[in-house]
Amino acid sequence: MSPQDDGRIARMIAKLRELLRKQSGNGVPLVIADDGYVEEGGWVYLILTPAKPGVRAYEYVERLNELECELRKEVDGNILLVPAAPD
Amino acid sequence: MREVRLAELWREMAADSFSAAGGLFSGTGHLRSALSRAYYAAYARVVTSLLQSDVVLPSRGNPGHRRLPALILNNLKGVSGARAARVCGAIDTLYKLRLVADYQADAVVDETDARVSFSLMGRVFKDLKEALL
Repeated sequence: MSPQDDGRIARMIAKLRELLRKQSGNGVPLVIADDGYVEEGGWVYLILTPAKPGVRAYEYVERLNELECELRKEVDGNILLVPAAPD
Repeated sequence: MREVRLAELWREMAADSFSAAGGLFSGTGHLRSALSRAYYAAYARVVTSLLQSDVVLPSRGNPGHRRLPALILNNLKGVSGARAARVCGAIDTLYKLRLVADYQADAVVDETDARVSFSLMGRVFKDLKEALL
């Protein structure tokens, strides 16, 4: 990955964290690690995990979908927000 | 001819998983497995339609989930943009639910999640069936 890509993804993560802070009272609290992404085939997958155990599956996914829509308004590129999965 | 046969095999797998998802839920209450199967059923149904739309699958055989949105939006024959977007949204949510069900041990998967998954799975099947009529 090029330094430009690194910078672009770091900005996506920073913007996502900003959205998470702004909406901290809404729904499931989620976090993303600095290396919480996968880039493949022109898509960036940002991996968010619950900040606490016991979240309900659909609420978690609904929150991911809402954040995904918001983030797409703020940054360019093909972005998907996903739960953690094996590499 | 090979593509026609392949599409038929994928359709059978989709139908099998569709039934299995319902069975896992109603018969045994295996909710996480039911969610996982619901995603796979919808995935297999999408692959069926891609093959019927003359999409050539990658050499390893199956399109990865990450390629599905573009394939759905750009390649399905006889499917309007609005319907393709709906299928895309449904399969995306199913994929995320499947990841939670399979890999988030401390998340709660309940009956509502299973019902949401079945509803989305049903939407994918319905939209793609209607597209081929």
